[in-house]
Amino acid sequence: MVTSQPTSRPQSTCAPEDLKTGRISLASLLTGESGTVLDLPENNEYRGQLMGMGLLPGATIRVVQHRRDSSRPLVLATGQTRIAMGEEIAAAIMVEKNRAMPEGK
Amino acid sequence: MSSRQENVSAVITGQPNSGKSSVFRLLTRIHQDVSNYPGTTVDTKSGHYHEGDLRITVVDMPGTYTLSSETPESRITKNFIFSERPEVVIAVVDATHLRRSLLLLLELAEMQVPLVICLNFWDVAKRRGAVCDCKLLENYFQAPVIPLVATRGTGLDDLRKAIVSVCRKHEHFRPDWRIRYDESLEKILSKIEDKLRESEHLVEDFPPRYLAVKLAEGDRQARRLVEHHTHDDSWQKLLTFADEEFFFFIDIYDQTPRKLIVAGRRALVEKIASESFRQDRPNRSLRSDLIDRYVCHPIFGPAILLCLMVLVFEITFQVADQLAWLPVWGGQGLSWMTPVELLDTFFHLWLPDWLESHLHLTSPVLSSFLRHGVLAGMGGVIQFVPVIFVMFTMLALLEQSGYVARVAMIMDRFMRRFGLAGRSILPIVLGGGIAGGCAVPAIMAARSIGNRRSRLLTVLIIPMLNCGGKLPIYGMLVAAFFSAYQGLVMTAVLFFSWACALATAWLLARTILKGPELPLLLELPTYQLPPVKEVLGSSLRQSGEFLKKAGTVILAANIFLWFLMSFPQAGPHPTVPGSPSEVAMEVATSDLQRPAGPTDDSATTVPASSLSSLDHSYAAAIGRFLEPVTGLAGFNWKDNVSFIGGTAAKELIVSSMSTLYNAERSEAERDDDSQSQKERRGRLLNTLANSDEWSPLKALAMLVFVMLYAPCSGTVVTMYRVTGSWHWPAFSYLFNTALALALAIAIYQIGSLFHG
Repeated sequence: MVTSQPTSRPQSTCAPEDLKTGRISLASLLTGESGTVLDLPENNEYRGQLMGMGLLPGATIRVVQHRRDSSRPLVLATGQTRIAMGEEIAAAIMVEKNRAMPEGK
Repeated sequence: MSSRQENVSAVITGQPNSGKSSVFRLLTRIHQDVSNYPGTTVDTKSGHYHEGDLRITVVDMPGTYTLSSETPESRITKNFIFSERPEVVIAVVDATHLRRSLLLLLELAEMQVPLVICLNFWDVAKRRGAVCDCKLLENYFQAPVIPLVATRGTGLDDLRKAIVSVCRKHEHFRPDWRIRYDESLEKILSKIEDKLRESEHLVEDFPPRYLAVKLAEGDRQARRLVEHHTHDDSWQKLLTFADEEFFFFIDIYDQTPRKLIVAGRRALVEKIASESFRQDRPNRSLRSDLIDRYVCHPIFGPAILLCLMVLVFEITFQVADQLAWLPVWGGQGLSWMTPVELLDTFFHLWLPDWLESHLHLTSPVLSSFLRHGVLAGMGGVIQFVPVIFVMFTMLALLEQSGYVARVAMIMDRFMRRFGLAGRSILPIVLGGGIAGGCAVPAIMAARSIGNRRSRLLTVLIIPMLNCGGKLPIYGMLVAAFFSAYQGLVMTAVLFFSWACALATAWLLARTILKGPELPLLLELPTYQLPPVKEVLGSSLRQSGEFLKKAGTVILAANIFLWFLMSFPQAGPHPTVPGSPSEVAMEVATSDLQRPAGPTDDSATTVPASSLSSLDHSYAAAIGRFLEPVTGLAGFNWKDNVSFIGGTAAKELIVSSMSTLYNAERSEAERDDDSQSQKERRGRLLNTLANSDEWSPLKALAMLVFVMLYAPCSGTVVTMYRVTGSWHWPAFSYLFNTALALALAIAIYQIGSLFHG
């Protein structure tokens, strides 16, 4: 059983269990892939902004543009919203990769 | 104001870009106290209006996405609501992005505040085929829901009625609005609620349910509220009790209460969204995606950006300052002028002549003060307006269309190395990144940069670029000393100014303006045709604001300079205006940008007959005083006086030099005012080229000095307004001048070593 404090949680660590459950960071997704948001970075000022843009836990996202090799921002789509973000932020968002075809919502 | 008036207060909150400001303006039409422009990222405005016997004060909060984060916007909004206890909280929501705002609405409802919900941009939402069941929303939130088009005023009556009805209800009931979370969580929430109710003072001030939920979320502010609003030390017991319950919960259920709360809110958001909204037409984001494939392309993207920058730049200066499209009826019939020419002629010729013929001033000094000090100074201010207006219109078009977000994204990587924002590129280019431009509107445009550090850095480096005011002197020097390589040298000058600007930003970002490098996060809105009315409205507003706030200072600076250069008067030749056939402008005034070379027929001249007063003026005294230092860079007192003139406006450097140097000719020629601007410039060019004092080396030193030294008066004032303090303009003045002088001296001295 894992006990954790409500107010502090380490950011974007990928524990062995995560690999089993398919919990990866958004930064690992490539162009065209999609996923479901599991966790937003906690204790982070970006959290509010991300949520406000529609990136709520449970939301489906689709990566519109992401080249791993370049340091250009990642562009993703959620619903009708398009968001550009730096790698650091994407690395702190945990998602579950979707196997199905991306929904054209 | 009747004594039976009841004062109530209303707070406007909502996400950024929801049109809050428009709603604020709509309600408070005339009575507004707008605070200074954001020198900080946070900024509140307040105003008031009357409704029957109510006097309603309206305060606009900074936009925030959520009230659950630690951002300054969120904290300020919550603090204000809890401390001021407004009678109504007006939540402005973008109807085209309803789903997103639901979270904020839920948070407000959980705070159990008296709520009025405005669905702004209702017209756009309808056009896009979005359908919303307002009645259902009203049921969910127990608050009036008002569709609104703030920019047109549609829905204002309903809004005002709703505000009044909520205000009146306020005293009578406080809805105990709550979200039902998972049962497991509800159990401990009730326990904590009951415990909180034991503290009477606390319950008076805050809804216990809200506090319980916030404590479960781990909200630090809630803990502080409990601590400060219990009138004895029972808060420690309260918090310990709550914490124990939470740890117990985590032990049993293996997840945090916060997770359940988040999940519960999201579920409710989904429920409300699916029941209340429908999107009838196919969404537009696919079209935006298609456009973005080119706009955000690694190669096409920057290419498109470059073309658009040049286009915006060209349009701005063509319309404002180069295309003569205004018809003017004069003695010779119909002629055409550019807007800047028209204003120039008005303030330097028509108005002074008219006043002179009607006022019959006896004192030539007073006459000169009126014509060359006051009127020319006013002209100097108002001449900025066409450029500012057109530039802001162009910028607003870009912003409203959604393109600027893409610019911010494309340029982010490059700009961030210097501490600048991606969108800094726009003000930088418009402020002189291409040859020509004007720092004043560019700095005003930099206001839209959200990050304070990047905003300051952008503002500080803009004056180092090549504004149109510097072009006449550049052109003169290059034509006189580098005539064989004019294009090459001008290009080199351009690159050098960029290098200096970026290097300065780089340096400041690591020293005075050290700060964390924030990663990029921004939304790319769907492309849309910019709404023309809003665009023009905002440009008009900003131009008016410039006139009101900056105008007086620039005018004062010009008058002061007129004084420095006209006194003490010497000899029997008081300042006399030039002949009517040319538009003459006196030393103490400013002209606006002519992004062309030395063959330009601009109106910047100094009547030759005023030289004798110039020679003995205070300005000349200052010039001579500075000679020992500036001499190291090869500059003499005449150059110094020209530089002083340039602190009012850079265009004056050439005209001052023209007078000071050309006066070495004979007296007869000196009194011949009928020479055209072109002839004067030509004479200056020859004088300089043939002078012993002058050399390509000195020209180079002067080029660099003019490029970098103190910003002009207009720029200084605008810096103050945008940064919110005098520190930064003062810093800019000193730093830039020191840098300019150091480089000029280095160039001259080192260069002299090589030339023996």
